[in-house]
Amino acid sequence: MPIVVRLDRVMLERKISLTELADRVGITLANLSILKTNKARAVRFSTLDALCRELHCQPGDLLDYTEGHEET
Amino acid sequence: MTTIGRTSLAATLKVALDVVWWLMIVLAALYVLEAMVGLRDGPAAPRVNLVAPFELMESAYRIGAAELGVESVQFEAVSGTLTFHTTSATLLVMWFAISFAVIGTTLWIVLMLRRILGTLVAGAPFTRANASRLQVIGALVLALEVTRTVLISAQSLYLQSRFTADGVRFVTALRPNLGVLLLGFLLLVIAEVFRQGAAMREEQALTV
Repeated sequence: MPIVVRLDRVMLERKISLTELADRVGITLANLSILKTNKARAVRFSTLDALCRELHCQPGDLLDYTEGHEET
Repeated sequence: MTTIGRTSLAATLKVALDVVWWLMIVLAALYVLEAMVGLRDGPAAPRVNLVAPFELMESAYRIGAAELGVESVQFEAVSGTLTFHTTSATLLVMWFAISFAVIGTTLWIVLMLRRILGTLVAGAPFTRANASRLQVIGALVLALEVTRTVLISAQSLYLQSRFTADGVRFVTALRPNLGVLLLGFLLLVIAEVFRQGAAMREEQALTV
């Protein structure tokens, strides 16, 4: 999928773990892991809102559009 | 009562279907036992039941309703079951092969239904496996009805050639049960609905 999630990069900058972020955002660790590893098919606005709130960032900091990007 | 889960209508239906399943197993076992005992007993020849569509000769009966202004009434699309004992090996082999095929197919359909209800009780009915099960059940229902129709016609031909009957004429009309055929097609359509549902569920599972 051309949309690439850069959550790992922002989490590293903010020095926050996956477990803590999942707890703060209010989604399961499994779901956050799905998002972080680019396996998600869709993201709810409510989830995006919570991530931006907790990571103090913009949606564009988390999502990149890369034409021709293949899923790993 | 909820629709899914352990205390749901689905759970109640599953229990009922489980009872039906085990009853069918016992009855099938008794049928096999009876067939084996019957075959072994020789003089006590096994009993065969053949479905036989027939026409009643007009001279064999007279029905009317003078008050309604009806002078003569005819029976149409009449069908019955001929029951007789036989020692014909050919007939017995055919009869038991057909019986076991029907029993086996029916047991398979009930097994598929139990598995579908199991997923409903677990709260996850929209799976690709259930779509495939429904597709198989639909195809089996259609195949069974077509086969039943053809077999009954073949039986009628056999009866016409081997049996004599006074007042009765065996017919070989193909009379499929349109309701059963419609049910088979309906199940195939529902299978596709379940396939779409499974795809939507998989999409939803990967929606964060």
